[in-house]
Amino acid sequence: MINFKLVNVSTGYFNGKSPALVLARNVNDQIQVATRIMLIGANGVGKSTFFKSICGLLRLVSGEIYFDSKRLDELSEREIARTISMVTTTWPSNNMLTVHEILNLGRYPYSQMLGMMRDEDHLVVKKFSKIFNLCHLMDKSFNHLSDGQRQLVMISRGFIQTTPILILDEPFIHLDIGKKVWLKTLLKRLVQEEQKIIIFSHHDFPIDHDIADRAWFLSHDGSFQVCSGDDHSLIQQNILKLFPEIITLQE
Amino acid sequence: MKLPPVRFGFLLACFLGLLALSLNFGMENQESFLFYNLRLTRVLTAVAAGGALALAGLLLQTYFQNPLAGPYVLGVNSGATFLTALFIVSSSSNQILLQSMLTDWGMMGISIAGSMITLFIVIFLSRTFKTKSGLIIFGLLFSHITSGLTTVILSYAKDDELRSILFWSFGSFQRTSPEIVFWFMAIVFILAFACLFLAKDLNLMGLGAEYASLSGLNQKRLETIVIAIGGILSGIVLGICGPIAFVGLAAIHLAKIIFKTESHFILIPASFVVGSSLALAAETFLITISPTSIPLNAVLGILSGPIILAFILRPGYKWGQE
Repeated sequence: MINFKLVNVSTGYFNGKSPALVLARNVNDQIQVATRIMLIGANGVGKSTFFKSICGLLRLVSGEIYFDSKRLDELSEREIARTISMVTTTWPSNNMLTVHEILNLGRYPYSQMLGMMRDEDHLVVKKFSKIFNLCHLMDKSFNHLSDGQRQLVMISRGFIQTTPILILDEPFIHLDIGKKVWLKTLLKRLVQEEQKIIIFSHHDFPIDHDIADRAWFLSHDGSFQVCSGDDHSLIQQNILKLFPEIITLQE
Repeated sequence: MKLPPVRFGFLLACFLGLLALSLNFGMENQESFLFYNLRLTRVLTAVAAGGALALAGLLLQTYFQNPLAGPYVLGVNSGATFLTALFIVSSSSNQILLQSMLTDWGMMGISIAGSMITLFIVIFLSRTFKTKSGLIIFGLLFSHITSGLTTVILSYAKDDELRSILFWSFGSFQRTSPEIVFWFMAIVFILAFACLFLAKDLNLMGLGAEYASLSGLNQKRLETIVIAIGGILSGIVLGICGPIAFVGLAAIHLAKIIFKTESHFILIPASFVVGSSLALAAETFLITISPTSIPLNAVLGILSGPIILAFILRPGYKWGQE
């Protein structure tokens, strides 16, 4: 069964009504749950723009995105936030929030009139703060944390939103080597346990073969290539095509 | 997140103390009901106005995620003052219209309309100014332009109009009529209660506009409500009391310093009470110490500034980090 479908999606920026800059062109793919997808592309190629367009922060230049036969741009803000969540590369602007408050805000799409947390909301927050080892940080103020800790808090908040699709924009940034390995195995476990689609961008080289079930490649001309995660030689080939610098390095 | 009852108790005690002092001072030998009624009106006006300004300031600070935002700084007050002056002067040929405007209700209506229009303009134009300092610079420019225009308008005003506009522009809690203070308080309290339903949206704004959208916030809706409630609250105070500076800014920072939280379930009642207390403290000062009228805004500045400074300079406190 296909859960997530991109049909002829092009993303970019608008100047008024007309598209001023098209980055990714004609993206087509169909994805089932329990899939990890890694998006690879050079700096400035439009990875973050692509992510933001998928989750409705930016208008699509063209194309349609479907989740379970529902068109995403026809959903309300709240329904989108229950379907797709994203962890960006920026931090929350308000530096007085505690970790606990930030995690609780992940439950906003399910909140009632007054926004009081229900028992099930507390359970979800507790569960993921435990999984991400944040329990000892809960009452700390966000701006007292290290960059790596902040990154884990925001990723955990993304999971707390309990959406079938989770987008992580460079999740491994700021993490130490141990945490990177740990997060990698954690994502592999959670994508199965929570039956999610996790899409993330990634920069480390050499690419670990077990990091994703599927790979997307975005190049400067906007062309988009899809590879299965098992096809290691094709992935390698695409990486060398996108980053020719690696060849000179190896020689 | 636990409600800090001790701090609330302390704050309420301060507030009630001020209330009792301001109501009873010099009343020992006064048997006259009329005199007491006047004093009560004055005190209740200060309470409602302080709370309203604090709430308007809180809405704007949170909406823009900017610790300097507020009805005064963003130019809402001067914009609305300009529109009010414009209305009064341009309607001066029509005596009936002019008379109906110079009543409490007339001034209130014009000020609310003026505040909402200005707030709409500020929010609309603020999209171009993405940085925090950009917004403040814009507010200052807007403020300068509109107060310049107000001066131009005033030079065309007749004597009695000039007097009423000038008098009004000083800011005071003493000009309210007893009939209107009831409605003033009712509107302010209803809106304050309504703000509690915004608490979760306002809390979410703490993550920044992008994360708020990703979490499913309807920003257009919040924007409309902020314009409406913020406009009515600052407009109604402007109409009844004239431009009051500082409370909108000071109360929120004090509330955040005292309660050390970003949760609006606490900040909304807390800033309301702190704002009321600040306004009441200034009014109590005028009642008790200074029988000859010192302008209210001067007292407010002299009172609130040092309180905030004392909190900031307290050993071990790092500004904005708690």
